[in-house]
This record gives sequence, structure tokens and C-alpha cells, in this order.
Amino acid sequence: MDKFVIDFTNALDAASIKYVIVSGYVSILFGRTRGTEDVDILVEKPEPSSFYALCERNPRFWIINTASEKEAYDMLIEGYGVRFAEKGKAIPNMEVKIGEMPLERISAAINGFKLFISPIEIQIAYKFYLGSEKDIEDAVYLYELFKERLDRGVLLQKCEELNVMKELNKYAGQGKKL
Amino acid sequence: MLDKGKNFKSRLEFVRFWADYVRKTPNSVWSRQQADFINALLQGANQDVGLYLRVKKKAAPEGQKVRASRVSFK
Repeated sequence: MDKFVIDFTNALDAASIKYVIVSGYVSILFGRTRGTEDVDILVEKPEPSSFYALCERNPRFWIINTASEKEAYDMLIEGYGVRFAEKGKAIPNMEVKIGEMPLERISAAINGFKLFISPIEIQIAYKFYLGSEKDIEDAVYLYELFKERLDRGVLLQKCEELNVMKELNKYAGQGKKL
Repeated sequence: MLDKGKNFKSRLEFVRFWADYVRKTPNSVWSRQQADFINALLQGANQDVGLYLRVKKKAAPEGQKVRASRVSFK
């Protein structure tokens, strides 16, 4: 799984497409034991030439939800996710979408490879916002793992923005106000 | 009948336990266990692209409904 993510992000780097990995894979990267079918990744709006370079220089990957690279680029620009998988496979896949600018990201190292991921405080708030049991578990996991190192001001601000202060206090604070 | 609330509480207890274990355990140890688990899941995955996309298409509106029912960005 990690190798797939590293290979794909290397391909993004080679095509000069700035990215940030968000959502479930962030918690998996830090040790959460759960499966996932897709890795969510936000990118800066790429030039057509960069996007086509990404597709053409990486024959190991295929796009599973469109018939052509042109259609994939149009979908991306319209705000839809484009899913890249290893050729012949559906799972795991990278769901690529254009993110809000500027991309908020921090770097993480995995076996010497650098990946850009979303700041943990944002992930915790966003996972509470998504609200399924799996998402709440991801949020609690990240909070428990990083609680001494989180920027509390940023965490509280993001949770307020997403209106999930109740969830933060209930699940991360275990009933106590954070 | 499964008590969903109790079940979720117990899962959260495991999540906290595992987070504590990861904090206290060398990366090479916990990551081997995690990789074995995730790789096993992926090895057993159904790679039917058509089926995968149909499932995603059906599930997406349900997820949107759940999120729309929440008060979102201020």
C-alpha cells in the first residue's frame, strides 16, 4: 500500500503537480489498523500538459473511472475525482481532486521517502465533520497519538469552523471540554 | 441483537489502546503487524473495476445526505 502511494506521489512530483494526501491514509500512515480502498489526494489545478505527462509517463497506472485522459482532465477541472490504480486493478486507487488553494500541507517521511500530508489538526476536525464511525475512529486515533504535539489553537479553530466542537469534546476529550 | 452503541464504544477503546501501543512501540514492530494486516486485505480484494465503480456510485449520495444533514461550515 505504502509503495503504491510513494510511487504515485513520485509521479506527481515528476510532473510538477503539487499535492496533499488527506483523509484515511493519513491515519493509516501513522499506524491505524484498518483497510481502505482509496487514498484521497488533493492537487493544485494542473496545466493540461502536466496532467497528460503524469498519465503518459506512468504506464504502470491506469485511470479507472474515465475512458480517456482528456475526459479525465475535464472531470478533474469540473471538480470530480479521477481514480488512478495499478493497471488491471481497482484497489487500491488514488482519488485525485483539485483542492482549495493554497494547499495546507506538512511533510512526512516514510522509509526515507517524503510525502506531503494534511496537518493533523485539520484531519481531526475534518474526520469529526465526516462523522461516520470509521471517521470518528480515525479522528480519535490521530488525537490520541499526537495529543501532546497538536497545536490546540489550530485544532479548536478548525473544529469551530466545521461545527464539530461537540464531537471533539465528546470523543477526544472524553466528555471534558478541551 | 448487537448493541451498536456498546460496540462502537468498545471499538473506540481498541483505537485508544492501539494508539498507545504505537506510541510506545518501535516503528519497525507495529508497522510490520499493520502491513501484514493491510496487505492481506488488499490480496483478498475484488479487483472488478465495474463492480467497484457501481458500488461507489450507489454509496456516494448516501454519504452526501449524511453530511448535508449536519450543520457545515460557518
